[in-house]
Amino acid sequence: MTSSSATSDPIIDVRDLHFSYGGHRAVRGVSLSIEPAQVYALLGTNGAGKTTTLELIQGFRRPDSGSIRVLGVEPTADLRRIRQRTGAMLQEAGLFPELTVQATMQLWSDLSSRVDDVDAVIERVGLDHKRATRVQALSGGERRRLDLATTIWGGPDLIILDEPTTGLDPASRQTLWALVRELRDGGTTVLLTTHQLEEAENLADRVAIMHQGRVAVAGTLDEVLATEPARVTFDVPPAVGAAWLTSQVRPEGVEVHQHPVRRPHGDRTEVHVTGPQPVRDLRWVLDAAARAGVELERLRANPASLEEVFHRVRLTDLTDPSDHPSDPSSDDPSEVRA
Amino acid sequence: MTVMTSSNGTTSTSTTGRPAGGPARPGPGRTPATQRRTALGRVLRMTRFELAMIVRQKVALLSIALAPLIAVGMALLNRPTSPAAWMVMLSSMSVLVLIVAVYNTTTSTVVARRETQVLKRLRTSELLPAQMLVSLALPYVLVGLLQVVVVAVAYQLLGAPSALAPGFYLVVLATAVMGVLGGFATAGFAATSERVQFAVLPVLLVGLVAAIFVLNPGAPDHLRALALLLPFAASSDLACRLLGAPGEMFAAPAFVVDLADRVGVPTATLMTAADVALVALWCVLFAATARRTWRWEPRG
Repeated sequence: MTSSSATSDPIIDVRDLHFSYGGHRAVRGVSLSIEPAQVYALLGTNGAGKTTTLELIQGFRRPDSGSIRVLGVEPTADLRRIRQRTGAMLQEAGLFPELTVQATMQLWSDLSSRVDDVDAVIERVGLDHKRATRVQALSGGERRRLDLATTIWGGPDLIILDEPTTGLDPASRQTLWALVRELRDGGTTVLLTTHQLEEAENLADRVAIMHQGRVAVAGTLDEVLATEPARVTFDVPPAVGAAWLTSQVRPEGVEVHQHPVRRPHGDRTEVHVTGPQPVRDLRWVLDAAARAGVELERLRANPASLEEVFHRVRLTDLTDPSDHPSDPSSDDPSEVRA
Repeated sequence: MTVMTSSNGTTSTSTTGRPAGGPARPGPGRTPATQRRTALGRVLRMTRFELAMIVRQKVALLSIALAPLIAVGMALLNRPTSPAAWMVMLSSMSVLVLIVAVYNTTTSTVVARRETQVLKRLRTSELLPAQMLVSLALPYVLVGLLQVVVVAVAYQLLGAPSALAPGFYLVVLATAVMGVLGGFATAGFAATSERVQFAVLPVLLVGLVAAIFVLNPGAPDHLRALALLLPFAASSDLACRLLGAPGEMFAAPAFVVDLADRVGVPTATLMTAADVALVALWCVLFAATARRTWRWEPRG
């Protein structure tokens, strides 16, 4: 067995992928490049095309056009090789309900060419006290953990997790996140889809947000957050307003908005200053306030959150066929990000 | 490199030095410990597992146990008096057993596996789709063959001539395969386990009636010839021919007799060839339907 990661090639390289279900174009021009030992989170609204993209990557479906290389091979051309080096956890566990935890792992062991120890893997996902319990008697969270145990069996090079923490309680979620980090630190590449932005923020080295079958924005978490302006916010008395600020020459890309708010100690005007460079923008506000002698209340400066980026993407119409945003880490410089 | 030899004789290699069960540590420059697994070995392991699952599934086990009992019960009720009557009984009841135990059970199993997402999950394993389907089908084919052997032995104990004709067992094998393909095809029309019994009903009833009707010498030849076109009917007719039943037991419609005279071939040869073609045709039709309607996961 060879490892494509030894040559530092991407573990997954997807280019201009298209796929339709009948007349519905589920995936439209998706490009992704996932490097070894990365956790890559694919976010998106319902029906954004995340699961279809995962299915194409796993070779479950043949793309209408575009190319996919997983671990150096095209999935539909060499399924066997992909399966030998990949573990996958689907949205639903899909385990034999009649089997015990131990028997489930034994079956997986029988089918896999990867070697591992049944007892150790069960212990690793925290199901050692449930060895003799049938799958049908496990709780939803325990089934997810058993599912994860089959996924990490033998330490695959690539792990694909489709909404892995759906239905998990907070403690189980933390355990799973710790396991994913441990796998990544051990050199495993992890591709996961999730609805939970917190999960992506906690785990992912790179993030892509899909919408309407396209990658709307992608990059490291910082790069993705930088696509949304940071915000400096403060209160001033209504009589002061924001005229002292709007009359100044604004740095490039800065916008100022104000609206009345009711605070416990009286009415105020809340001023939002958004711009691409939070430090520069904050300095501009402070300088202007000092010059005008305005006292700023409740001053705070925040980078954009992933939720704000996600919300903006959700409201963006990407159905224009000429728009093909992609992961900036792919080599094609002609690709643009939304 | 670490070399491990397991109790089942498979040899595994590791370049990681990672003890089994330790943290999964593949990645850049490293290769996970592996053992050689051939496609055949994987299919056989899965087949063994599927056979064990049949024993665990009460409904499947009941269908499989009940079918030969019904066949023996029918013989006890009818008490065939001639070797030819025993051959008719064995042929039609063998097809009955295969319809109930192979066709019916395969359909139920596929729908249940799809409903519980097991089929989809197994696709992520190293068992490739074709291997998965073979592993799923093989136990039912084997069980079907075994059941027919049990029925044949039971009939012999009741006074039937011994059924040692290899051709007969080839037809049984082909019919078991047809049953599996029919099950795969029908599973595409049943969304849930509750609907399986409705989905199998048309083929089940038509097959059972036709398999018995085509070997009824009292029925008009042209109707028996038409019934041969129905699923599983030609299997019943062909099995009986290959057991060596006399020619007068079989339908010989006038147009086939005329054709046989014209081409100078015995009518029995022509009808046997027609039976073979019809069995093959139903296998192809079921396979084509299964290919069209097959789904790995429940309807969204």
